[in-house]
Amino acid sequence: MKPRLTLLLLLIVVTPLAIVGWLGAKIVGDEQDVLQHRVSGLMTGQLRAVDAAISTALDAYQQRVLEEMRPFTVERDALRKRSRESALSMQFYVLEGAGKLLYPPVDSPGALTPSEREALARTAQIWDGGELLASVGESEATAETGWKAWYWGNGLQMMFWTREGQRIHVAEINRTRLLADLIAALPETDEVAPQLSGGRIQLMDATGTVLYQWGSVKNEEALKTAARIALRAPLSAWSLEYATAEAPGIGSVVAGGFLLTLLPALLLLVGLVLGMAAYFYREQSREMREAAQRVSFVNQVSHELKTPLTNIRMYAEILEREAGGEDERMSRHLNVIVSESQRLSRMIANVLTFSRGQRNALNLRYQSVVPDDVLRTVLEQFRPALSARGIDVELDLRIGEECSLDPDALGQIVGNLVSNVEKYAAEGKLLRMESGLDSLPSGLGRIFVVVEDRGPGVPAREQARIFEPFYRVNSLLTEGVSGTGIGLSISRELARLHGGDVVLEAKESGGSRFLVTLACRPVAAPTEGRPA
Amino acid sequence: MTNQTMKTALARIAVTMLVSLLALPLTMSGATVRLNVDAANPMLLSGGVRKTYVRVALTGMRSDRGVRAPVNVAIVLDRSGSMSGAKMAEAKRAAILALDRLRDDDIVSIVTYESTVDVLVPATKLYDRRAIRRAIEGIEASGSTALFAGVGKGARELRKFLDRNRVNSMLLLSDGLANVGPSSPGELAQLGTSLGREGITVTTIGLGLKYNEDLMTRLALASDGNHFFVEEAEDLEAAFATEFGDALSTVAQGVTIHLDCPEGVRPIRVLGRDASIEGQRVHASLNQLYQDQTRYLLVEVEVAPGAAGRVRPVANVTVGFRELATKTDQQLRGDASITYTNSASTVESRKNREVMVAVASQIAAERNKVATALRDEGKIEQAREAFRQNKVYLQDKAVELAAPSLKDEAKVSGEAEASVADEAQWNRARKQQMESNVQVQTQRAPKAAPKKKQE
Repeated sequence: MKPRLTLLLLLIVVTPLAIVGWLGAKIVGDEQDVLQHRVSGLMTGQLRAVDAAISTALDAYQQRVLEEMRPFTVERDALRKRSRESALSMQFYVLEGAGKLLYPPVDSPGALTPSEREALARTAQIWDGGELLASVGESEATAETGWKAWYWGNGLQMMFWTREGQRIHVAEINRTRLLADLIAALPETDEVAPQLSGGRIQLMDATGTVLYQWGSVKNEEALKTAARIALRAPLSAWSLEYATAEAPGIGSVVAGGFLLTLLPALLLLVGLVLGMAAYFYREQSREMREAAQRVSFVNQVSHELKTPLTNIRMYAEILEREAGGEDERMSRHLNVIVSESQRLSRMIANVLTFSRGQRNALNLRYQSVVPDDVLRTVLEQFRPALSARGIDVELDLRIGEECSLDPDALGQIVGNLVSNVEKYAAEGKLLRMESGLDSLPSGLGRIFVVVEDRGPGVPAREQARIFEPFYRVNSLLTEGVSGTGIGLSISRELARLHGGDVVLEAKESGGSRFLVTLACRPVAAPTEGRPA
Repeated sequence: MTNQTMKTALARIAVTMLVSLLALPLTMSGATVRLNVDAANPMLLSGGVRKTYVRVALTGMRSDRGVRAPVNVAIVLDRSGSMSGAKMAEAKRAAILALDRLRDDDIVSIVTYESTVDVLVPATKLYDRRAIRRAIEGIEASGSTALFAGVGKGARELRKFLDRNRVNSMLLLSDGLANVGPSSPGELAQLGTSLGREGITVTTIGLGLKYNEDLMTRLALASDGNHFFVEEAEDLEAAFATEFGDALSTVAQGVTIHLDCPEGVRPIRVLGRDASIEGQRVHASLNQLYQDQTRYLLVEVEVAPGAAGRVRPVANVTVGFRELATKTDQQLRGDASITYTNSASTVESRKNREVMVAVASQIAAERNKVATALRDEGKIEQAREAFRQNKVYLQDKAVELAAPSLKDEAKVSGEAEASVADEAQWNRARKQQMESNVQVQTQRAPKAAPKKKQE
C-alpha cells in the first residue's frame, strides 16, 4: 500500500504542477515571442528613425550642392572654378537636352584639364551609356532634381542632377565627404537612446562592410543582427542593422518581469495543490496509524487473553462432554461458548500472526496430517455460526492421505475464508468447499482448497486490493460488520510462505471463489523448520 | 629680375599696403605676408625651347601687434585597444599641455574613437578648463579603430565655429590601422581634400610603428596639414607643441594662388602639391601661412625661344588671403620674367639658389616616392639603388647650392637606403621617409626636437 499511496500522492502533486508549469512555460514562451516581436519592431522603428535622419542629412547635403551649382552657367571658367573649390563635389557637368556634354568640353580634348580628363574617365559609363539621361527620364517629368547612384572604384558613387530649361546640371558628389557628413549627423556612442543600450546600430555598404556604428557593447564578437532595413533611395544599396550581443536578452528581462507578476498566482496554485496533497496524505496516514494502533493494542491484549481463553475453551469442552446430552438447552449454550471462544482464538491467532509477520518472523511448523481432517475441524468450529445464518455447506474433499504441512496455517487460512463467507456472503446460503492434491514433477505435492459462496462477490476494481492489510471493501456490505481488515492479507501471506497462494478466482455466476494452494512435502521425510 | 619689373612689383605691394591702410587706418603694418615670385633661371640660354621653374613664395611676417588670431581646434584621439598604457597616458598629457597654450576664447573640441566614436568635448570655448581636463584624463583605451568616423565627427565640431578669422585645424592621432569605416588612403585623401577646401587643416600624428603612413600622410597632404611620425609616446608632446605653435602663429589663411603664364610660356607641372593647370593658368591654395615660415608653389614651365637680351615675363601671380590680424581679405600681386642670354655660364651663375634648393628638394621627394613604390613591390635592390642615387643627388645639390637643409634630406634618403632589406628597419624608415616628404611638400615645420634623442 505504501508505494501505491506515494505514487498516488506524487501523481496528485505532479500532474497539476506539470500542467501549471506547461501552461506557464507556454504563456511565457508566447509572451517571449510577442516581446521578441515587439522588441524587433522597436529596433526596426529605431532603424527607420535613423534612416529618416540620414535622409534629412542627404537632403541638407543636396541643398548645399544646389547652392554651389547656382547660378546655373555653362561658362567654362566658372564651372572650373566651382569644381576646383567645391568641398562637396568632385566635378560639375552640364548636359544639353539630348545628352551631349557641354562641360567638360569633350569636343576639344586639348582643352581639357588633367582633372577634367580624370573625371571623364571616372564617369565614362554614365555618359557613354546615357545612364544619367535614362535616370532623368525615369523620374517624373515634373521632377526638377534627382540622384543617380552608380558603382565605380571603391564603392557607391553619387551624382546629383537638376534641370534648368533644356539643360541638365550635374554634380559628381565627393563620396567620402558625403559619408563623413552623414556620419556627422548620426549619433555618437554616448548619445544612444538608453532603452536600447547594449545594442549597436551599424550603417553598412552594399558589401556588408561597416561604414559607421554606434552604441557601446561589451563583447563585439557576440554581436548578432536583430533587425535590418535597407536605406531609402538613393542610398538603397546601403543598409542599417541593429545588432545586440544576445538577442533574447532584451526579451528575457521584460519576460522576467511578466513572470514576476505571474509568480504569486503560480505559488498560490502550487501551495494549494501541496496543501491538498498533504491533507490527503495526513488523512490516509491517520487511518493507517489508527489501524496499526488497533492491531498493536489487540496484539498486546491478545497475549494476555490467550491463557484465560485457553482455560475457558478447555473447561467449556470438559463441561460439554460431562453434560452428555442430558440437558439440551445447556448443551446448546455450551456449544456457543465453545464456538465463540474458538472464534476468539482465531482472531487472536490472526493478530499475532500479523504482528509477527510485520516483524518478518512467521514460522511454519510442518506436521504429518491429513489435510481434509484439518478442513473438517475448521468447518466443525464454524458449524454453529453457519447454521445460525442458514448457510448450507457442500463438501467435496479428496485429500484422504497424509501430507506434511503446517495444520495451523492451513486452518487459519481456510478459517479466515469461511469466516468471510459467514460475515459477508450469508445471503448466498451456500458454502462449498473442495479440496484435492496435485502431484508436481519436482516430486513435491500441492494441495488446493476451494472456498466458494453465492454472495455478492467482490467488485472487479476491488479484487486486487482485498488482500492488502486493513483494506476493507467500502460498501453497504461491510457496514455494520466488524473486522480487523487483516484476515485475507494474513491468509495470503501464510499461503505464500507455504509455497502457495490465495487467489480470488473469476466466477461466472454471483459469489466469490477463493483458491488456496499450498505446497506439501512427502510424508516420508517429515521435517520441521523454515522453508526457504 | 629687371629693375622695371622690380619697380612694378614694389609699386603693387605699395598699392596693396595703401589699400589696407585705407581700409584699416589703425593697422600699421598691413603686409603680414610677403610675396616673392622668382624664376629658377632669371637668365635663360637663347635660341631654343627652355625649361625652368617659377616659385611663388609666401612668407608670414612677424606681427608687431602681438595679438594672435583665435584658434578653433579639434583634437581627435585614437583610443583603440593598442593605445592602452603609456601611449594613452602620453597622448592625454600632450593634449592637456597643448590646451594650456590656448586662451579662454579659443575653441576646442575633443573626439575619441575606437570601434565607435565619442565626442568627449563638443566644440567649446576654454572657460571651463577643469572639465575639459577631467574629460581628457578619463579617456580609456579599448576596441577597434574607426578613424574615418573620428575625422568626420571632428570636422563637424570644427564646423560649429568655422570662421575665416579663426585658425581651423584638426589634430588627428592614431597608432594603428583604421579598420572600421572607409580606411583606404585614397578615401581619406578624398575627405582631406574636401576638408581642406572648406578651410580645415588636418594634421596627422602617427604614433609607434604600426599606423598606416600612407593614409595619414595623404590625409594630411590633401588638407594642407602637417604630418608627424612619433615613434615614442613621450615625444608626442613635441609634436603637439609644434602643431599648436604653428596654429597659434598663423598670420593668414585661405590663401589662393593664381599664376598666369603669358604667351610663349607654358606651365608643365606643379611640383609637390595639388594644383590645377588650366591652359596658361595655374591655381593652387594653401590653408594657412605661419609667422616666419615660407611656403611656396613651384611650377615647371616651358619657355619659347628668344633672342639674347630679350626680356620675357614668365608669370603673373595674384595671391588672395584672409589676414587674421585685421580680419580682412588681402591681395598681393607679383610677377617674374627671364632674360635671354648667349652665355651658358651666365645662366649658371645667375640661377636663383633658393629656388634651386626648393626644386632639388621637391624632385628628391618625388624620386623618393618612386623608390618607395619599388620597395613596396618587393624590388629591394632597385629601391636601394634609387635611394642611393637620391642621397647622392641631394648631397651634391647641398654642396652645389650650399644648402644644409638638403643635407638633412639626404640623410633620410640614406637611412632608407640602409634599411630597405630589413623589414622592421624599413617600416621605420618608410615612416620617416613619408614624414619628411610631407614636410618638403607642404613646407611645414618638422616637429620640435624630442627631449631625449633616440637611439
